[in-house]
Amino acid sequence: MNKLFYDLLDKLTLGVLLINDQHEIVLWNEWMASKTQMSSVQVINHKLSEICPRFALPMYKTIIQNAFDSGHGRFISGAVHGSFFNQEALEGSDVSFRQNLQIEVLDSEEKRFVLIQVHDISSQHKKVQQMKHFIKTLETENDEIRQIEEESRLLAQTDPLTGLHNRLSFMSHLSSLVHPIPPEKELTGIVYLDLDAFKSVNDQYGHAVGDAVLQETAHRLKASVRSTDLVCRLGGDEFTLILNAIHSITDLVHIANKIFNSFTAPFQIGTLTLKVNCSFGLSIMPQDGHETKELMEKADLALYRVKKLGKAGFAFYSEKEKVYR
Amino acid sequence: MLNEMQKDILKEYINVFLGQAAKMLSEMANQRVLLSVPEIAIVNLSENSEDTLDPSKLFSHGHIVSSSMKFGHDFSGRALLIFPATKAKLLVDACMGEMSNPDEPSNPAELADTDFDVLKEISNVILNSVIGEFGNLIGTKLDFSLPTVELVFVSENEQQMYLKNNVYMLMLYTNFTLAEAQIDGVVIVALGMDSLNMLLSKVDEIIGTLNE
Repeated sequence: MNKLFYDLLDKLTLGVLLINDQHEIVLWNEWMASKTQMSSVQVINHKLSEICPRFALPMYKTIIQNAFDSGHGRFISGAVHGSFFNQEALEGSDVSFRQNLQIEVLDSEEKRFVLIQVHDISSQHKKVQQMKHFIKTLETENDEIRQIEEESRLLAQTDPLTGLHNRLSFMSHLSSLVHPIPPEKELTGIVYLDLDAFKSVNDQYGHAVGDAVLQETAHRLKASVRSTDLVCRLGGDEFTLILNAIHSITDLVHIANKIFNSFTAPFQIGTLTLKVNCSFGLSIMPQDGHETKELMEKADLALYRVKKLGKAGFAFYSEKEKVYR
Repeated sequence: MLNEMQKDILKEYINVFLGQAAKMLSEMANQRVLLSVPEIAIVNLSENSEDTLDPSKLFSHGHIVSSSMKFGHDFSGRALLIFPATKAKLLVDACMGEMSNPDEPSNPAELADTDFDVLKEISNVILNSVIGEFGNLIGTKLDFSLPTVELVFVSENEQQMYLKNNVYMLMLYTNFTLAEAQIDGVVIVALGMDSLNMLLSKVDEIIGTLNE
């Protein structure tokens, strides 16, 4: 029976060792021998800390002593503590070994022993680490894809010459403003603007100067409105603005004047000094409508009136005869 | 169920017990771990106890990590340590020295087998301290098993799945502080009427000696 018992212990696929109250090893199964390359003959009657120096460390010494004193078991996870009984790991040549220890007390004939079961979780731990690494790689790739998508989205909505929002972005912003309808008391101003005689700038000074004029126009428009307003270039010398959350027509006239006056100073393009004028029409939501198309058309009609009545000014769609200069 | 005096005495003792657990966890995690029990209550579902159970303090809706072990002979019951799975991941990462962002909710599915091993050890240390010291306080020897850890999904209707009739729940609302993260959990000590009386008699005895 005794031989059968030891044979059974040696067949186990986990490490089993038993220590007495002097912390001397009294049982060491074959699994332990194969992992440590130390036979039971070599270790029996030796102190645990001699065979496995980690048990000389205060933390582990205390754990073992607590088990003897209180009789309470203790689980030690290899994920945190690493390996205890492994030749390569003990020599420091391989840190990938991990072992869970289950420490329990056995009382026999008024003698107390501590049983330590050693479960090797190295391969499991390796798999978990690989899985974690894989998840991290996927997350990084996902972040990169999102970043590229965001950059593409911004690129698709940006005018490359001026850095302003383009027609696509303008239309989507305007639609999002219109649906749902904003609060009753708030007005939204839609500005449709173009430069007066821009074609002659291109013809006279070339496209490079024309492009610089458009860039300076973008800069002046942005500087004359709030950061919450939207400035877009539709194409050519046509610009649109969405002026959000306006409280009164007077406020809107004030902002429109500011936009108009931003063209007062001449444009300095290299050594050239150019006088550039603009004309623009405004429609107002909700009084001029709620539909994107309708609001754009009404702002364009107001612009047409300014052009017809001498350019260099602005007009509201609702004020049928008036042009501000 | 518990008067203020009993509550104060128990709270004081439990905080001392957890101080030892915190010391061991600090060594294990290689950083300072603080454990405290700011609130305790006794809850019994079959009676209208004065201490009403706020289920949200016990189980958050969704995944939770529960770790439990049985103990005792004369003084017997089951001890559970429970916290939300998302917080459990923070605890594991902090112990393994892998910093995760405390503000970033983690997915319970990301808890790997080895993470459960770490949780098992943490639970082991905490439950050993609490139950072991209860044994010392009452003056009885307690034998107990190593804890088992499981991830369970608790629906809102099932939040009381662990709470059975005629069992008194000593609820220790536990707060872990480590690596700049605050993790709330709860240690539940489920006791029968006799065991609860043993504990309360001991507490009353301590109160008596204080008043002498």
